[in-house]
Amino acid sequence: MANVDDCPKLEVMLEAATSDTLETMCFFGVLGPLEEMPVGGEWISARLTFQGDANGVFHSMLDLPAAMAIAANFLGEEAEDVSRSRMEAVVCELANMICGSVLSAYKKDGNFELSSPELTSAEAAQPDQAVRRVFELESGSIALAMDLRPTV
Amino acid sequence: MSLRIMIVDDSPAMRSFIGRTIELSGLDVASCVHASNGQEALNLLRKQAVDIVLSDINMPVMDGESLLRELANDADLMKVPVVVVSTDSTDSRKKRMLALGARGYVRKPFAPETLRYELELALGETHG
Repeated sequence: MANVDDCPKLEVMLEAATSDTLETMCFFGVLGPLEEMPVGGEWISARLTFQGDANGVFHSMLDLPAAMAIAANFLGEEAEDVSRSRMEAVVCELANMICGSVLSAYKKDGNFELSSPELTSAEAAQPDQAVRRVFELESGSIALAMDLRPTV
Repeated sequence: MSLRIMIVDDSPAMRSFIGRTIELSGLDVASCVHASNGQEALNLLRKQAVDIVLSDINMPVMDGESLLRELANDADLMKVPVVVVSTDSTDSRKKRMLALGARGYVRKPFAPETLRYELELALGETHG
């Protein structure tokens, strides 16, 4: 089985998918990469798994300011009008879109099945081998972790 | 022509986004019906006519592929155009959905103009 080290472009694909998704669907800008995940504050985290030409797991974590602003933009509402459950639904949908974009970029003619994204804790265990990226956003931050293992 | 649209997606947030995007795109929308999976869509389509269906693929109960198969086998519904809206933009998936009868394929994330273009293209095949 190939190791994630065999696909060094994963970091690049994560950044491209994040920028594309946030800017196109949420009208929200990515300012640039951060070295580490900011400490403190509340984070909303979603997780999904995928199988097919690559198996793995994808985590996305948004801090509360980012989650609120992104959900408001996505839903076309004022931030104070967006309920907690709807904000969480948008965080899950965002994880689905970013992961799907990465997998499509990873293998354009591939076959993948994605699980439904689920809320998880930001502290939930992530595979040691996961590629991690953190980005500063217009408001707040997003952290991503993806463990992708080619099967073919 | 005022359009009667159905949006099929298990995410209420995504259904809301797609509906708002269609309205903002300038298309004349008479009504917009929501369904959370393929089975719910079929049940609604058997009660009320729509001009076009936008459907996700990965959904519980009945997924988008099964919905396309069911529509193709239903004499009353086989002509309803379906545009797939999915996070899966692999060529293999797109070919499979088009082979099953989808009239268009939009990958998420999408720009509003892309969605409008695909809708007009699919409707053109039906009404043009």
